[in-house]
Amino acid sequence: MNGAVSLKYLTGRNIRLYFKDKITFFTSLITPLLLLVLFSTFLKNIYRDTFLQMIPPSIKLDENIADAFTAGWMMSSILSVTCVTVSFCSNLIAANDKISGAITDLSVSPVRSEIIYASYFLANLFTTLIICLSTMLIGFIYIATQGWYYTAGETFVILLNVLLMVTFGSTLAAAFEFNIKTTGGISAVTALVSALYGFICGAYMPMSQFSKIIKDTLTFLPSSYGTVLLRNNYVRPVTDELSGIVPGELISAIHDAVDVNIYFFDHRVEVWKMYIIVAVTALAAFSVYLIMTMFAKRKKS
Amino acid sequence: MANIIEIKDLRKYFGDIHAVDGISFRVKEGELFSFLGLNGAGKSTTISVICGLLRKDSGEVLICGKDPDDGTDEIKSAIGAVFQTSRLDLPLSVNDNLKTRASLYGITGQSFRNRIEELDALFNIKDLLHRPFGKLSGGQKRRIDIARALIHDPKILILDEPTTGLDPQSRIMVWDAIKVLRKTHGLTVFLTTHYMEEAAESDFIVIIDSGKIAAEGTPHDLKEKYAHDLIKLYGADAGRVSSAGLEFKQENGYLSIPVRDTEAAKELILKMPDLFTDFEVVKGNMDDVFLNATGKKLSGSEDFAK
Repeated sequence: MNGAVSLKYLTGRNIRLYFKDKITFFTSLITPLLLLVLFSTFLKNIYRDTFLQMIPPSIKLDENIADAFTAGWMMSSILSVTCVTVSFCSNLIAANDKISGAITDLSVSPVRSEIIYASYFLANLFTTLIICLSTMLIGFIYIATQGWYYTAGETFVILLNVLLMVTFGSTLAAAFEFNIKTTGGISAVTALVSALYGFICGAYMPMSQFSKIIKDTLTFLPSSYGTVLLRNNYVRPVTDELSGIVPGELISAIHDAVDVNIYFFDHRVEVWKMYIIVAVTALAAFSVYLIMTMFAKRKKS
Repeated sequence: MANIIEIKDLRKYFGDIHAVDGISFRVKEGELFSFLGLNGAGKSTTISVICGLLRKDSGEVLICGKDPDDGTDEIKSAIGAVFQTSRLDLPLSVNDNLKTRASLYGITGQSFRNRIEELDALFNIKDLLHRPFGKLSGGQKRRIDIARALIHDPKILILDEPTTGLDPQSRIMVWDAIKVLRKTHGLTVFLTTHYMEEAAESDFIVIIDSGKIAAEGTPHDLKEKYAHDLIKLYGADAGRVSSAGLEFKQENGYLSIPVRDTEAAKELILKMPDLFTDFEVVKGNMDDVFLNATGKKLSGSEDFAK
């Protein structure tokens, strides 16, 4: 009971500390919006042309479908990056507590270290969720201006997938950033993740465009399946509109080209397996985090 | 009075550094206990072991009869600690800081508000509750640090250099509140300080040097053993003093003649009334105790006099 009360208050404290640091908050909030602006400025036409080039000239398409396809592709890319990079950039309270010594003040109280670390995780999950859900909502508004092809159920599945990806990102951030005790360490990790993640998860460029060796290597990374899941959510409802207009093989080819489908050594991975891969990775990362908190408690020297 | 802290042959090493090297002492319930030493002498390491923040390498540590290494909540609830530097959250309000810390001891809602009322009576903190902790002055921050340490009404208050850098008024307020708590709640105070005159008020003092105990006892015992009285002789001829067979030191404007105690000073003055025409007898103080026990001078005493 006391543990639950402590967890509630500590999580609240961590969230308040995060939002009090206005520079961190606005940087985290602006990053996905900046991505949206950059995507729509520099990549929108490339995405749109890629799609239209795959459609035979003899077939006349509703312009809205091409725009909605492009917008969905963009939003899936932005969210697959944002859910993870924002988690890493927002997970600063634990490191800051070590730097300021606040962790000592918390540790002299009769609260278990697991509760303290769980509060860091929950606060990061909450703050990342706020930023990613805001991005998702802004994305929906943008998509609606381009052409809306989602049912209420499909919209809800997108929401659930964002929740899953935020959990995935938060658990990875918790595990990878656990031992950071300096501001330099925080900067290094967030800079690396921000720079690399979009490429290795197939968000900036579809994995299908890479060489076979890189493509096969990326299929070993759970992050690739997270991106493909969101791509499924955002793109498939739009391409479903093409059935009856274009041959099924062509739709399948479009899906292959933009990573709605992913192949593990030529075997197509089904969507339910992707969910399991992402969920199990999140669970494994959380287990590693838990083990590290227990190890840290025993160390105390 | 029972022992509330008992330490026997405590050792804590960090590689080749023997931070604490076989120290033993005890603190009695309700006592004001001073733990003195230079930076790096082993004070903070000992405090960390007592608070359960560090595991000891060997020896025995008992707080309220229990070992902190066993990680019992009972010990952590019995201790309130004020660290050398403030560990509260600078961007948050004082109220948010205290509320979060109180929740860790299960104090929430009306119990929290009641506790704030009690602490306000001691430290006058109500006006500060809604201000960001980082915007407070040094003295105000220290008052809040102490209020935080006392938020759960602990039996033992550990003060790690609590008044360093404080203005005289804040120092007085801190000490007055501690006196009240000792009197009304029987609070045990474990103090480390650079100000020897604060230590002089203690019931018992332990001086630690390079991880080992250099001296211990009541202030009176320590002064008896390590401090000597001094006769300051003004306007005297150094040659006459020397030919009288007295040991002396030439100081700025006077000659300093060490004597065992006040009785010895009286005897000497009566023996040589012609020599001692303009003089004063100065009692040995805690600075002398520290200097003579460790061979080192403790910084901070000059600040205290300001």
